[in-house]
Amino acid sequence: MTQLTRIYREMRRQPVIGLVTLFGTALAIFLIMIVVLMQNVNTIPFSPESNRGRFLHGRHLHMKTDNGECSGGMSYQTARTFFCDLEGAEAVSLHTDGGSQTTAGIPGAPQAEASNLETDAYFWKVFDFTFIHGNPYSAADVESDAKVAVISESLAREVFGTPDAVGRTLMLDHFVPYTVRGVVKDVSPLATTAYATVWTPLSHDARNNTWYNYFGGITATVLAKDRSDFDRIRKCVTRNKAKFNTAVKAENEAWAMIDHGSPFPQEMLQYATWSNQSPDVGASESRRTRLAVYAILLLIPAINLSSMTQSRLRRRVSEMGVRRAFGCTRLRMVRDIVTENLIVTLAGGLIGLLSSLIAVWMFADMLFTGSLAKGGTVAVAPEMLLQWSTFGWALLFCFLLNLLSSGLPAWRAARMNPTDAIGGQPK
Amino acid sequence: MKRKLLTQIATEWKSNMWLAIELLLVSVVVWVVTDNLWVKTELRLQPMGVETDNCFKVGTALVNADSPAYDGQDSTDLTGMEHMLKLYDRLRHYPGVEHAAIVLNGTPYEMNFSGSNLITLDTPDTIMTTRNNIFTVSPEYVDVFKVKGSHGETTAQLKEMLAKGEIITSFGLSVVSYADLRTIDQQNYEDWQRITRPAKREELVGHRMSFAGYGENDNNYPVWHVGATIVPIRRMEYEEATGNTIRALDLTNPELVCQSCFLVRVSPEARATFRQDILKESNNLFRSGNRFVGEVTEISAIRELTQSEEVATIRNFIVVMVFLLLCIFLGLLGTFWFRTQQRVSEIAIRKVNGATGADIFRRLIGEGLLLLLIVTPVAVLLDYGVAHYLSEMPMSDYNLPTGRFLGGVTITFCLMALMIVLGIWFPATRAMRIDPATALKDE
Repeated sequence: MTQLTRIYREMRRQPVIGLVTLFGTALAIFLIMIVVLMQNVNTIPFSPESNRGRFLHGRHLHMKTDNGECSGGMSYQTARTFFCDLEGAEAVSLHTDGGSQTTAGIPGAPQAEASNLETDAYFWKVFDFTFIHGNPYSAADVESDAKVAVISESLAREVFGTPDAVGRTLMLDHFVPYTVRGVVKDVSPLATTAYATVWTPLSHDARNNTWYNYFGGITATVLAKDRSDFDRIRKCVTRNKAKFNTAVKAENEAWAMIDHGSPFPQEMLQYATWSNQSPDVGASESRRTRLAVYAILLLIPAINLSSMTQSRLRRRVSEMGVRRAFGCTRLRMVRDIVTENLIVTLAGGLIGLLSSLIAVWMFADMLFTGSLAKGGTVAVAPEMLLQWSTFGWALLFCFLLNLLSSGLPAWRAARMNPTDAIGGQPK
Repeated sequence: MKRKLLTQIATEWKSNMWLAIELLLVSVVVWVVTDNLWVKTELRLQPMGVETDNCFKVGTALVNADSPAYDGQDSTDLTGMEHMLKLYDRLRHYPGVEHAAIVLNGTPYEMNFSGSNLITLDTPDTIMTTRNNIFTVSPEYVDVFKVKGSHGETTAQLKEMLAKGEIITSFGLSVVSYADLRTIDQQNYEDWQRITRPAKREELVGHRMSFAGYGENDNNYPVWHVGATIVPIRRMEYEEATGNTIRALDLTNPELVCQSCFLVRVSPEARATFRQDILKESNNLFRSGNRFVGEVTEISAIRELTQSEEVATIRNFIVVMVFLLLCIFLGLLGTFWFRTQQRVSEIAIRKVNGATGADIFRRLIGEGLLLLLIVTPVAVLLDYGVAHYLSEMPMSDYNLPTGRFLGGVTITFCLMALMIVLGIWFPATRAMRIDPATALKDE
């Protein structure tokens, strides 16, 4: 309470310096948190990817061939071989890798642009979609190559004028009629694995689409029972890969799989861009860039704020002299100054954090344009932003900023000679 | 005046050191951002080689065999080309369409690169292109995108050349001569770079060319006559021209025709509704056999999508630069506000001794600018170090001409100076208004 009163008094006595400190802190935390939030959306759980913490992703296949190397997606058969009989897995879904662009509509009307993901029936177990109307398609639908579809609410509204489109006929790709089996709440393109506006059973075409026997357009999402099961699952995949490799070698001695450690947890997914490279390469590069950005965003405001703190403390030299003369220890002095500064930093940090949350919520489409342009409008729901981890990061950066900006001035203030300080002549 | 300022700066060296470090760091980062933006702006200002306003890409697809609308009697392999040409003809005559071309490779902003190297067949020393994006298009392509010759050739002349079976190449196409090629280690990237040069117009125009590795003796590979050079067509606004050659699409080759798309220029009045108008006809006018028009995309939309990463990077750079400049502004505002408070009596004495308000103002601003002048040489050295580091990175094509370096340093200095002036402006104005009598009475 004493400290709050002291801060209030300081603010009133030096409003400009107080405001500059507050604004500078808010600005620094604002920008840092924008970077953090943009990074966080890759890992934080939200519907329909609420189980991200338990996901393992199998994306690519890289092989040595008789005349070089070849890499790409997996064929249906390869994916089945890799991801069968996994101990510790709750469900495994095989689906196409990213939605393909198509058109959806009713005959005679303008066709809407749509993104189509073909999936097996386990997809609906792995991902938690919110069904507004109807149900997902079944394993029997997938086996029989049934022309049924689950569509997003906004597509249902665009095509049929109502979200209750169950049972209606939807033409995909202009000419192929599908019966709408279910309508789900819209999915943000930030849900990079599950995003689409139309989901249809994994077609026979997609299953038979292979090149060099082993490659295709299929990807696997494994839902582990628990994160602690990851190792067991990976062991099973490694065993399956070894079997696959033996079969490959039996067909052609020169061919062999180059293993990059797939499947990967959600936090590595963003780096698993290249099929012929381990995501570790991209992850370490990205980590370096992020560290440099954080360093710039923290260091320069910290120097600024440090200079401001120094100025504020110089006004209070005599007060500090008196406190020291009355027996206040150096450690206590440092602690008081750092704590006092922390309160200001936290106030500025709170303003910065709130502004960054509002900015990401309002300008998500602009912020995520570069990487997610394929998904059209990017909406960020409040629950995607209001995560404990976000507050944790904000708090951590506030502490760091506070330590960097007040540590040195506090240490110097505590080292002042009380006699000189009372006389207003600190050395 | 300068000496007095220097003395004052030296006296308050502890707080000035913080300011100097901050100015130094920000100066280097602002220079890096400025240099990057300079490069991007320079690229953006280069001609694209094509005019894409009111232009659309029209793509076709085949009716899915699962559809009730699928025509089982229509063998897409044999009749596919006829259907494509029928659709092309209908598109050319559709109201509002000014020009339409059938194109295998050459859609602006799609970033395709169909690289094949050509060699001259009739020059004393054989010349080979090293980076050559081959566009295979119908002659109307030059009408659609208003392609211009590099030496005054009109679009009509270029179209005529393509129709005659001649090829047109971009001006300044990267080439190497076989004579030079024999002198280097061909596995060495830097050696290749050293002998690569832009071709002179007369080295290409009027000469016969063929794909490298094949010659006139190989009847399967055609020999072309180079008709003219054109303004290079770039793949996007943030990339250097790759160099290209335009050749006519063989409209009798079913394989090539069926893989092609249409590129059209429409009248400004037709632009707004063109996409919906065409797609509405997907099952009627724009369907032939099992082939139909399934995609109509404005080139500006392709451009936006392709360049979105670049635009986002530029935006992020600008945000960081504005943030750092704001830091400078706030830092100086706070520090000098405090200094003005500290120096009330000093300012009052100066005024009593005849200094005007303007003198006080100039002195404070001068103090900030002098600090910037002191750190600038160090910052320039660091900038140079960063540039050197970037150019030494493996496979780096970063180079820094002196003009750009000096330009970047000047812009950085001016931006920093502006922030310093703005930051000190308020405290300095406050200092100007100090009444010496009141200030000294308070003392």
